[in-house]
Amino acid sequence: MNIGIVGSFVTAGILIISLLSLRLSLYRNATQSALDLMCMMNVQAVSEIVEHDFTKIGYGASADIISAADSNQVTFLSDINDDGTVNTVTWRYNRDVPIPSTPNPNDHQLRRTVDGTVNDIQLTVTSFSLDYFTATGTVTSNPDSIRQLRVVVICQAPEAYGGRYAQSSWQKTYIPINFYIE
Amino acid sequence: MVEADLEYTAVAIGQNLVDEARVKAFDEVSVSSAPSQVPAGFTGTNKFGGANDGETYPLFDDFDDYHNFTRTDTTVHGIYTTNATVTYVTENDPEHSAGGKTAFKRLTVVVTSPFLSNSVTLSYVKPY
Repeated sequence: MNIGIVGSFVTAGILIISLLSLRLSLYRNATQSALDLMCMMNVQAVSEIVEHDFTKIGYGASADIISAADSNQVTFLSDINDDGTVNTVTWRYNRDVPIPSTPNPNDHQLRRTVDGTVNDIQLTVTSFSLDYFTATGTVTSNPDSIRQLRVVVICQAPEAYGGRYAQSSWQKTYIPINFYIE
Repeated sequence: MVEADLEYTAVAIGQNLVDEARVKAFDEVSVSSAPSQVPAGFTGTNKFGGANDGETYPLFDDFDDYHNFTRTDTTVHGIYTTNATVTYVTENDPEHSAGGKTAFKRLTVVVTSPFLSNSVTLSYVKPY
């Protein structure tokens, strides 16, 4: 066989394999980016609801603003819809209630309750933790002493890719101004 | 992780410092009582900063204590550094420093991270 023809076949083969590898790599990157973006959008969606509620903690209430506070749950008073009625709002991350609609075993139920009306936030939240501080930043668990709340949210992709779940996270420490209005 | 994640956290950290400062008194002289003269009785810019009042963070008690203040926060996205400055501004021109004392102070917060290509800047104007 002509050595030139053999060389052409080898060169063409290497070229085709390179192109296929490049295409596979691009596909993987696109999939990973899509999952990263999905996680980030979920985190942002959760944070927007948290922002809506947590900045209004104590709005319209005169006393006993926070009635329950632990790492999974907070219950507070607020005129959350600015309609003149003070509501009881609870945020609870139920670590023992998985979300059945996703194959990810790490996501659990994040539940927002306003005066008994339940709203489950199904956004693949895999961690939602709360910490509480006094005005000077000392950790506290006494509801009467709480002046700051730190929330940390982590969302993962509903499905794994390449053996791992893409994830995105966000945290913010809130200092509700209503604690300081007399 | 994408950069937007880091920026989102940087904004949250900046907002936290603004939230912290805005609940404090406008000026050292207005912490416990009203000043005798407004704005002449307020603290001069050369006396801004908690150290001038003998105060250390987190025990600042007025807005301009945050002048030239730096805080470091460790988050799930790494370490962020926040620098704050305070200046007098006027109601009609809150963007620029006023020449003297006024009834408005602007807090400018700049949040940086070694993993962020750009810093995040927030401003808040507190009226007396």
